[in-house]
Amino acid sequence: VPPDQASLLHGTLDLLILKAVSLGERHGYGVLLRLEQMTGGKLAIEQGALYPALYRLVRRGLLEAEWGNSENNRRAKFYRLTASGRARLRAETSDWNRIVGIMAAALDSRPGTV
Amino acid sequence: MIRRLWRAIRSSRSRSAFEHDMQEELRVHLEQRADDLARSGLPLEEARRRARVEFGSVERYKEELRESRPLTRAALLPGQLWRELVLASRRLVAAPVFTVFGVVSLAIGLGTTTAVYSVMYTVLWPSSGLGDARSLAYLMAPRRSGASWQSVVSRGDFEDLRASSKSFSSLTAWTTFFRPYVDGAFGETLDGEAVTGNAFATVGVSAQLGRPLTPDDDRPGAAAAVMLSDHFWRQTLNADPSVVGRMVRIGGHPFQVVGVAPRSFLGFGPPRFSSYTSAWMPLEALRLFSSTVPKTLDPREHSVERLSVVGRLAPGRTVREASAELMAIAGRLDAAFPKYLVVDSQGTLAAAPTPRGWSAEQVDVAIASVYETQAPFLIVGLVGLVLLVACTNLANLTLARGSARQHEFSVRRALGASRGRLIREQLIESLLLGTAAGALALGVARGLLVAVASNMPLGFRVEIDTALAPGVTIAAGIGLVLALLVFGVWPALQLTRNDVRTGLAGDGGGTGPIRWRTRRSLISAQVAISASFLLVAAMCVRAILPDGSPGPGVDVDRLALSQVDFAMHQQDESRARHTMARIEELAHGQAGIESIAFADGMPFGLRASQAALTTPDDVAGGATAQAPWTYVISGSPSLLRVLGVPVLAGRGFEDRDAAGTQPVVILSEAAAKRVFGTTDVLGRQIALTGDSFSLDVTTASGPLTVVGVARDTDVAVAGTRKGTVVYVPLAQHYRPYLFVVARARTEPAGVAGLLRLLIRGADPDLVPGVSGTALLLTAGPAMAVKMLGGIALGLGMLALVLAMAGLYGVLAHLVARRRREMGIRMALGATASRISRMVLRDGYRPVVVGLFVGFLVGTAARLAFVRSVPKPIAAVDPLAYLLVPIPLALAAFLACYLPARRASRVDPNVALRDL
Repeated sequence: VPPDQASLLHGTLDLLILKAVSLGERHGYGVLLRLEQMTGGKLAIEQGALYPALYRLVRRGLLEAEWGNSENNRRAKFYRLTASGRARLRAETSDWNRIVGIMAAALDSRPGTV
Repeated sequence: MIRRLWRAIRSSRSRSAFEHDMQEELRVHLEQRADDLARSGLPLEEARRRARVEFGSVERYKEELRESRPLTRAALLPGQLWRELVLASRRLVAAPVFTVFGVVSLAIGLGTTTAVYSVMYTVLWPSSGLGDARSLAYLMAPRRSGASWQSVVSRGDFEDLRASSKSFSSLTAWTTFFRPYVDGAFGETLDGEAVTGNAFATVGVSAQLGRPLTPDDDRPGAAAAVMLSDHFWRQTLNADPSVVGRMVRIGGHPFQVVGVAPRSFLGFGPPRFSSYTSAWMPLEALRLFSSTVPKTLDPREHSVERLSVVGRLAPGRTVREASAELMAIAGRLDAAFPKYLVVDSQGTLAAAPTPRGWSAEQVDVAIASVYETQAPFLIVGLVGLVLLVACTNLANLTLARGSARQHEFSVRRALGASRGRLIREQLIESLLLGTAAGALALGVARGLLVAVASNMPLGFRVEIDTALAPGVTIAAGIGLVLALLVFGVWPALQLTRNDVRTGLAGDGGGTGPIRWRTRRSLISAQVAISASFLLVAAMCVRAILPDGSPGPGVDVDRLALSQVDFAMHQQDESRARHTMARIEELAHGQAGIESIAFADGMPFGLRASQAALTTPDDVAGGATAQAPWTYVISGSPSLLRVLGVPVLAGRGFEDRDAAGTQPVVILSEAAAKRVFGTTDVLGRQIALTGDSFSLDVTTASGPLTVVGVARDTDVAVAGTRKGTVVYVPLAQHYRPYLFVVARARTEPAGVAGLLRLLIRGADPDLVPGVSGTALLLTAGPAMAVKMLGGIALGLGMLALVLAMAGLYGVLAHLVARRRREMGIRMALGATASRISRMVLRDGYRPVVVGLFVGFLVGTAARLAFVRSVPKPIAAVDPLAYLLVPIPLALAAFLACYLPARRASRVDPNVALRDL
């Protein structure tokens, strides 16, 4: 994968995780399931790749993690958005939308409209 | 920001915790996935396999996660610090001798300092418990032993003063009383103060229970009220709160207990060493007791000075202004009511108009002056020096040990380690040492305090708190940190100073000029400290040791005393004599008591009555005005034997000297010389006339025949042989106020308690007064000085031991460092004895320099301190200068000789191989 594309993907995964977590506290596996739902099962990442992303977000202070009991009474680590995570999600989302808008408009342009 | 830091700290938990978390999290993920898959119909085994496949390489992700462990600086530190702590403690464990010595010497230094400060704090700076003592002042009047606050004012004078003073917003007078306190079966003597009604308001003290005494209590005809001290309430009434409001009997009269004073309040006079004030009653209540001298309370009386006065300065007034005003008022009173005092000048009586000479002294100052405050500061300084010696030792050792690692440091610096890193390593080591030493020091301090507390003489006023005061502990902690900074940082700087090239070149910096000089000057400094310390300590010892004085003249060590006041109990002579006989009978059955006697006074600094000593001829001729004043002691036959006062001529009292037989007397040598000019006085006659106003017996005796001459004793004031004393038989001269004195077979402390039991056993209605060992009862500030002397001596020894050990440690280390040099010398033909001599010479040089400096410093210190020592002592004391170097020289010899011998046994082949 070319480097810029990889970073785009990285950023995308992080943003998706932030979004998934923003919908409610989730443990790692729960985040994965949520991601699958959100993307209609079209996100094809190795499940393990989720964790480096989660840890990265924790380290940046966008998520915080805490051990608790899962719905079927298993010990699991739960992730939650921090205040700065929430702010970041908002900023990134609007950035994303802007870029998508710009890109869509740009890609939609035809001869004559420019 | 704080959140961030907190997260950083949280996320930087130790490696194993992180690992555990991660493993667990991934395992849970796999299990849940497998469960979900199994629920959708897959066999469990297959589900598990699928979960793993979907996850990808678990190990690869784990590695990726490990690498993503937070590495921010804040997060990095704790982990790294931990590793460095581990490393440092490994280094310390690898050098057990250094570590143990360092920790122990620092702990001893710090622990001793802490303990001594604790003791001094309680013993020497007692709080009087008086509210805002700075604006309180005692009225002082000139007395024989200097200005005194005690019994200085008559009631008439006090009332005039109170009416005319503008400098004081409030003035209070008090006097002391001893009365039996009886509550049902319980009896105890009150050693109390009778006060004017405004007393508690004046000094700003309230009650912890009930109420304090008020002016209403001091009105004529008011119901008798008493307020108890916290000490009395706690020690003898077991802190029974129901005592407030109870009716008790004091001196046979009903009193109501109205309150208990706060714990901090010790009384209106300066705190005493040997006893506590137990209660306060209104001055007016003293009228209840028939034995009270009425003049004490008579507002028209201007000569019987039984009251002490303390006053609250009016706002804005200074002690100086108050003094001036008091002086003026005293002058007016002198004119209106001239005071004729019988003065005892060179042993003759003269009635001369004597000015009152009042002045004011701030309460704080007066209390401080009671406690001979100079000596303590001297001790404080010395204690500080002990800590300094301990720290110097540690610095020396750190330096010596570090020099052995010089080569290692150089290599590491050459490889890129920063100087800061090396210094930090040293600091962490010092920190570990310091922490261990600090913990140990707490133990040492506590042990010392317990030892001091349990060795306190029985009944000593000061209760040593074995728990360390928080203030003291904090001060000790700060001291430790400072010590670590100076003696941890400084050697670290020294050690890392050299440049890398020299360090790497062969010899690991063993004899680099700068460091050798540093170490030498450290040794010198330590020797100097020890020497000057010992010089000053020697002065302390000099000050405390009796300078050839023959002691009190009474064998006091095994004496125990208890007081009985038959008059206070309103018992007559026949009942008293019966009781005495019973007490004597009971005492004979006691194994602890060797012998027992009764007397109304003691010829060694305890109270005794006084009379003019004259001859029957002078009495007849009316020529007694110029008669010398003497102490008179009325004692039972066994008195002189019990006291251990030898009869030099004639005989002691015997049972035949009974009432109705020839009146006899025993003179002290000085008394004999005073009257007759000789001690050859057996068979001659004397007479006693008059009496000091303070005693209730005023009889001019008939002729008394001298039957014996006793050796002189320190009659009035301990340490002086000034007074004269005559002994008369108790059988012929009954006194209602008596000491029961017993010679113990061994330890007198227990016997004092036993005497109390015997007295109560002989007559359950009797309440014994003050009891204790003779040493304790005569102890005053002298006792504190003695105790301080003990501390000083102990510290001196401690400093010496520390210095010896430190010297040995460092010199031994230095010598060991020069092994290679010695190998070369020996290979070139030096003999073993030559090597030894060389080491000795090198080792001694800094010691000699240190001794020289120490003598200079010590002499300066002695010159500075000599004025604060009560006795005249030469600042330059040849004996001390001769003695002090001896232990140091011995230590230096040991320190150098043992390693020198070790060095001289070095095999050149082995030593040279290190090259």
